[in-house]
Amino acid sequence: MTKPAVVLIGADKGGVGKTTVARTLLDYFTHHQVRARAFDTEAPRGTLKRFHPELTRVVDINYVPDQMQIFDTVHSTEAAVSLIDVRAGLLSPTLRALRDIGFIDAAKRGQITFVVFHILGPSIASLDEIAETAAYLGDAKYLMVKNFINNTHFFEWDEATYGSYFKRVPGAVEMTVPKLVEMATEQVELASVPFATFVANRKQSGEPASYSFVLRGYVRHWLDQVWAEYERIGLLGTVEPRQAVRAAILRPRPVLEAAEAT
Amino acid sequence: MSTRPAPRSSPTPLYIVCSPFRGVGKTLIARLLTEFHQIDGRPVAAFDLADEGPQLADYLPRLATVAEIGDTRGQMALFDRIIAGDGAVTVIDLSHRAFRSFFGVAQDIGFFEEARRHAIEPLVLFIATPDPKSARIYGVLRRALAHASLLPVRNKSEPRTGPDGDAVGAGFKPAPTSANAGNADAPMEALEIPLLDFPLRAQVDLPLFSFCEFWRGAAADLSDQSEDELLSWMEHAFFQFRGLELFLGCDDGSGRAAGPRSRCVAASGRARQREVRRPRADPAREVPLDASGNSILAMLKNAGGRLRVAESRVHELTAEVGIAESRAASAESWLQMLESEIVDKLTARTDVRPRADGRR
Repeated sequence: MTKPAVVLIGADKGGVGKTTVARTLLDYFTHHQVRARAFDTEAPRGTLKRFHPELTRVVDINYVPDQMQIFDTVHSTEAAVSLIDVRAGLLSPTLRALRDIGFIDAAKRGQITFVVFHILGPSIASLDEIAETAAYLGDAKYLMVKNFINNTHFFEWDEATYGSYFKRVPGAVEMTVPKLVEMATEQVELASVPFATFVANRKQSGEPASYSFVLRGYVRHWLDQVWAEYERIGLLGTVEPRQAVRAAILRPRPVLEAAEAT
Repeated sequence: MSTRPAPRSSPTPLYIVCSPFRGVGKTLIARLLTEFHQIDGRPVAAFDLADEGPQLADYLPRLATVAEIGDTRGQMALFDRIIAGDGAVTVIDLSHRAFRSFFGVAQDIGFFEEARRHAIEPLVLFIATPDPKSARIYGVLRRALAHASLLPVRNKSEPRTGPDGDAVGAGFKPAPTSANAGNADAPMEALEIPLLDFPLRAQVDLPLFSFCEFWRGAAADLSDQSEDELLSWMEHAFFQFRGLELFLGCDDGSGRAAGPRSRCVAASGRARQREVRRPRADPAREVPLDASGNSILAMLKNAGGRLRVAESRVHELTAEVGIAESRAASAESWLQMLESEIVDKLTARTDVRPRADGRR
């Protein structure tokens, strides 16, 4: 049996694109036929649920029954990956709670694969988050994401300062999410569909849509770039080694082709 | 359910007339291509991405749409419209300024790939110039365009494309990428636009001139000889365009009016056109003597124009010779001055050279 994986996506600041990254991850796992379920901690609204309603449940991460719903079922669920989109400001408290319930230790013992996507903001405060988060990570695969989708500029960071924070988390990997053309971002938001579905010109129901070809092209190009980053960091091999081997054997397909096939 | 469009019997061509340089005749070729299809009676849509006049939309206001791809909205207006298509042949006149951004955006959004999925066959017509940069950029495009065919254009009608317009060297190899393109029956190394005499070029560059109207027999302020010359030039270009469709595999074998007609048919057609064009209401104009006189007058006008150009060039050259002569004269006087100065200094040194006993 495959070791279950828990993927946590968070930041202590809002508006840095956590849900966007979560959406690209769900598209990526779907494309690679990795069964995934998602938890949206933005209770009661749930932005992630709007885009991936069939895969997502809205939960309150501070509420013990909801915590049980997520973590007690990690081994029993059919999904190989449990993805948690952590609400802004709750990354450190969530990690603390995971430590308290023994989840971090379970990951250390190799019973669970634990991956943390820390979406960085443009300010120096965001670097302080790294230090705070590092204390709870254990053996998690820690990914620091510079997300440019919201036209964020990371120029405020002095390289030396950034490097000093980066070193605090051994084995940390940095990845980048490039900017997506604003109109394309807006149109996908309006359509309320996964990125891959938008590229395939479908509605949430699966019926053909009439999205702009140009915007679909921009989304496809962007999603290709994001997925290339996931390939680079070896995400598939981390969460589902069997699928990673299969994917390596199969010829890589462009997003458009992949989206049409689903 | 698939969103793939239903395949058409033969693909529709999409021509992108481009060059990274200005003044190489992009608009002229785009006009010719557009009007070639108009003469054929085929639906044609032209997009004008030029940013300096006179541009395609000035010549073909009813067929050409001014496009701007600087922002996403403009890109949607252009690319979405082409992809949505309606079976119309598309011609894009791509300005040298928009060259890089057009191909950048097209690559990012997978435009050429999507075009082929919609039975649109893209062909990039790259106007070759002798500049080494031109061959280099052509090479880059050749490597980058996996889903569009690429063909160099030898535009002899434009002096800037090199001596006799013959700038197509070893660096410009055609790159057909369509499954139907470049078949053995229609090999094409380059599109060749023949030389057009200056007065005729001036005539076709007039904003009100229409190749289509001219082909259909509309009057033009030209002698019969000039008309024949222009029609022959158009015929040559049209023959090439017909070849392009075969090159792209877009030929549906319908045998169109502006296709590769035999020269005999075209010549008799011209004679008929002239007859049609001459107004019948004025019997005096039907007198052959007057017709000859008019023809001679037109020729004289042309010759006068050329003479004036030659005369002004002679004046310019005479002035340049005068300037060169005066420069030579002043240089000579400077040399004489220098010579005398050198002689003076050498003589003075000889006078002050110390004697063997150390005294001066």
